[in-house]
Amino acid sequence: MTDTFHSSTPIYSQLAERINKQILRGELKPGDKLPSVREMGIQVNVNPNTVQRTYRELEGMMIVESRRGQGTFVTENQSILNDMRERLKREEISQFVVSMHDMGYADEEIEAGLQKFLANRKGDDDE
Amino acid sequence: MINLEQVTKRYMNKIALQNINLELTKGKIIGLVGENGSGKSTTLKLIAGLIHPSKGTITVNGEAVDRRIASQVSYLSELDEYYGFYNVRQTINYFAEQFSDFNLQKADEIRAFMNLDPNAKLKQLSKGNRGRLKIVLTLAREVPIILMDEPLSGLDPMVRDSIVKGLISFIDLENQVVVITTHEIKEIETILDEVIAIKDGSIIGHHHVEQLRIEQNMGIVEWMTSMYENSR
Amino acid sequence: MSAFLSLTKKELRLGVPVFLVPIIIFIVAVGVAAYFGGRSGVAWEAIAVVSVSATAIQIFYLLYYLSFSLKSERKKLHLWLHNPLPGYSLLLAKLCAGLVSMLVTFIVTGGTLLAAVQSSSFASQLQAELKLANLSVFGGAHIWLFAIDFAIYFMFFYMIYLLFSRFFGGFLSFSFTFILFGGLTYLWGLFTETSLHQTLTGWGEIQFNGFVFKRSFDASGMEVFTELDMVHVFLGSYLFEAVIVVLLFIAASWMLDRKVEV
Repeated sequence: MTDTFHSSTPIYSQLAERINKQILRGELKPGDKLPSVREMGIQVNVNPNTVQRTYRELEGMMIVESRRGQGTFVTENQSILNDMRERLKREEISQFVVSMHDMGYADEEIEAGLQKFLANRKGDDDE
Repeated sequence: MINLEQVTKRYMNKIALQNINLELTKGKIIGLVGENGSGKSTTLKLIAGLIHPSKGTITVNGEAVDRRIASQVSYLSELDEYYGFYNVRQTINYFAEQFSDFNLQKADEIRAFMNLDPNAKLKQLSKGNRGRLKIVLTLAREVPIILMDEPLSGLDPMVRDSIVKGLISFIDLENQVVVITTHEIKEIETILDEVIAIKDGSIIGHHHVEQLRIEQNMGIVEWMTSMYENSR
Repeated sequence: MSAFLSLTKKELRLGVPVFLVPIIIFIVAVGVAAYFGGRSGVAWEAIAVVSVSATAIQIFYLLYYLSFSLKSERKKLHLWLHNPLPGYSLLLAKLCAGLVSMLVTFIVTGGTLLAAVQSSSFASQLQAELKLANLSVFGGAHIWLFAIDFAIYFMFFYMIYLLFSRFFGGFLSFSFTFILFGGLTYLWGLFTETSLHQTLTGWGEIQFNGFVFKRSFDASGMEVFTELDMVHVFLGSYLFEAVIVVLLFIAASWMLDRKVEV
């Protein structure tokens, strides 16, 4: 969690993304408590005001919920987490496709290339 | 909280600041950036009442500023001169006796966090440890305004990191405003709320840092560079 | 502990070297006087001479003490001035530390003097002739009064020096302050010759007859001695000086708060 942030994109959204990924990887489980705003700030070297904004943002997306006087928790609503999982996948793929298009690849090429890549990687992993 | 109106500071043959207007409110960490001699330190000293404007007015919480604004302002100088006959603990105690808002317990927490030996003689303190002591003395006060002049300058990366972490840990952002001047923008850009760029004694830009990233896709260094070029 | 006490404690600590140097010099001087005086059999007389000089010179003690104390603060003005206490407290703390140091030094030199006078044969002759108690109380009190007087004049001019150094280098600032000091002293000298000054200071005369000598000269009609034996002071001049000094102190404090810059 100590890797640095890109200086030219909003820190609050980079931090939100990090937390989302932690949830996807299972490092943060549904119902887990997030560190307090200040603790999180210290962990990642970020202004507590910015952390506050990240938590607000995540709360707006219902990924976390704050309980009065107790802190902020990862939601236990599995369908919201599934939605997030789907959404992030879509976003990542769309970025990939856009940059492939930029370089002039056609849809068929991308598809075939991806299949071949994954098949090869699977072979590597089996060894 | 802090208000500068039409402030000009002239020395014998040099204008240090010209027509500065500035309003800073609480709950923020504000970075003051610019080249050497651009007027960063002068601005902080003016707010601390340690120098006086040639023109214009400065108020802190509505009160006109002079030296005694020290009761509401905690000022960290870029110099690290202290009384050499004291050790770390005695220096902390001396400050606690001079400032009624000094929280000794907090000072001890910060000192421990900074790994500073309370019995170390001031004369024998390394530059890094003097930098750490300055942080202890400045942040242990429960004071509305904290001014820090180059708190990271000349320190090695480990000390800089512990100072930045100390800032996040011990600043009370609900009640305090912090103004930091620095060259080491990279080190503190993730903890700044606002940034002010100064060039040749004039403010050439004042921005919310996250807003800058959202609207202009720019980090502080890029933004400052572009402001400097635009004002040429 | 109150802020002022703790500040005074710091000033005392800051002044330790300044305090020790004169004491050490005095001890050495007494030793040297005792040694050489002893060779001619006048050890106590020699010590008495050294002690009298050491005590008298303390009229400049506070001047000396403050010049070091203020000078060492010059390098860390931001530290000294970043303090909620008013300017007069900052200056008063230094003055108090100086007075405490002076008191100790004064007791050391004065005590040595007393011991020397008690033990010397020449002094016991003097004692038969002169009212030494009167002389030492009168002299001692004036050493203190002058010392405080000089101290405050010095503070005032040091603040002016700090004002100059906002604009000029150290040497120029010193020169300007010195010239200003000379000029003001000259003007003051002119003023003391005016009748206004005479009116302000020349009232409340107090005479002490038979203050100095134990013997009475009235019968023998020795005019010179009678004249010498009569000490007269003007309350007005003391009060006038006190007012001047208080005004200078207020002005120095004001400059420290409002005009001096880091």
